[in-house]
Amino acid sequence: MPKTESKAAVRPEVPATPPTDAASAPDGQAGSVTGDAREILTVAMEVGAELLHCGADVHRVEDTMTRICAAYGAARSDVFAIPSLITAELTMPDGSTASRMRRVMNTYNHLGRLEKINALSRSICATPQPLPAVEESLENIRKFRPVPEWLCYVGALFATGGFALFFGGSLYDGLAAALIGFLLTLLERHRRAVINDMAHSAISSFAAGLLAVLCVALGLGSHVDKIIIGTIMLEIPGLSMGNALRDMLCGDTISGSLRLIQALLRALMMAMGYMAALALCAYVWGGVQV
Amino acid sequence: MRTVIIMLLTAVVATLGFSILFYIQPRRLPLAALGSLLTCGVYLLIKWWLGGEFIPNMLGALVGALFSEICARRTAVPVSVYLTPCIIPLVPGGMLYQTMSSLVQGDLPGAGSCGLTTLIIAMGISCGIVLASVMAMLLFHRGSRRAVRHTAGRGRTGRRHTQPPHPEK
Repeated sequence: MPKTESKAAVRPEVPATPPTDAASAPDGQAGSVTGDAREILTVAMEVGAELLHCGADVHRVEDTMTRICAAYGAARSDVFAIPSLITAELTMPDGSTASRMRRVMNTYNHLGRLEKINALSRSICATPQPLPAVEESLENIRKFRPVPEWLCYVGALFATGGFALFFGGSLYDGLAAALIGFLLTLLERHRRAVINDMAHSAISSFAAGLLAVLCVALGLGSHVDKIIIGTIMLEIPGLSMGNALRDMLCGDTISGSLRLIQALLRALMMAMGYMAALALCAYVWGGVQV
Repeated sequence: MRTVIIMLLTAVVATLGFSILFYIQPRRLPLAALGSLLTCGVYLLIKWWLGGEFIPNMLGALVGALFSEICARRTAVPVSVYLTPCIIPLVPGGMLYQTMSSLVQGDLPGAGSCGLTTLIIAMGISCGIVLASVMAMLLFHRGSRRAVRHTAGRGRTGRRHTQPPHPEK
């Protein structure tokens, strides 16, 4: 179909870097596009792990790794991935095999990096590049920042304020939600590594609940519920719940159910945080309607 | 009418905010915003016309997902780059809040029904996405397996070493 050709024509903007790398540093096996089974699998694994790390769905990870292995001339490759683990085995035409496993600790949504890695894998599949060049461009992708850090706080302001208004809050409710959203993002960006995801959800929703009641008590905004709904959207696992169900409907039952349980647990932790905050306020002040 | 316009506008603003939080590339923002406007518009229209939760969410997600499949194919990026922003207006945050608030007030039946509605909404969204991806597969992917194998085998390795086509597809 002509579609693939047009994509290949769009591509050159991205792989502009790797060829120059290969030309300037012709060490190792530059020039040859295939290596031994272990090296090929290492590169495929790096790409797959980075994809999973940036929040790609499991199906895409497996598909990409299989295609990369095939592009480097593997006779057969078996890849299996769940959200926290990838395992793969690869067989070369000469009968040599390699197998590897990679644990992926934390995943987050990074659509910009996802897009870059996908472009890299497309360019690899079109013309296999020397393995060191691929590793170098992966290293560049890891440093890639599509927007400056401060813009994320602006994003949080828009996201929470917008949703407070979306669910029927007044303009002041939106302002209060935006303020809390800003503080939550601050908390999220400066959290300690020892606090795990679940604990962090509970703590930040507790803080958000307290702040929402405080805002209304101080006269900024009038509906506690609208403010809380706005801020809830910032860390709600609704998106991952949808992704989990989609995984299951697409046939990746194991990763779907893992994600679903994770999403439900996170929702539970958030609920506990908000409930604790609201119950505390009701107890201290009395008569604050929840 | 005024509420609808406010909802559409704020949905787009919130989507832009979330897209930045998800580190989307700035040049993808206009299409992402358009997609979320489309999704939200279809959702509100069907909701006003038919009511209920499952069907409006499913059709909204279906339209949004089809839009993102087309955009993704045009610009050669993964579908989730557009899909994630598109379905953000449908995420059942309000319902989840109702569930929690019922729990705090000790209203167990209310919490149960709200929780069920949340699940139904999530189910509707994912059904819409899966339907759209199947439709996109049928529309665009005709013969693409072969195209992929052509590209994959174009190196010095030749075509006979490439992966055999997946038996399920």
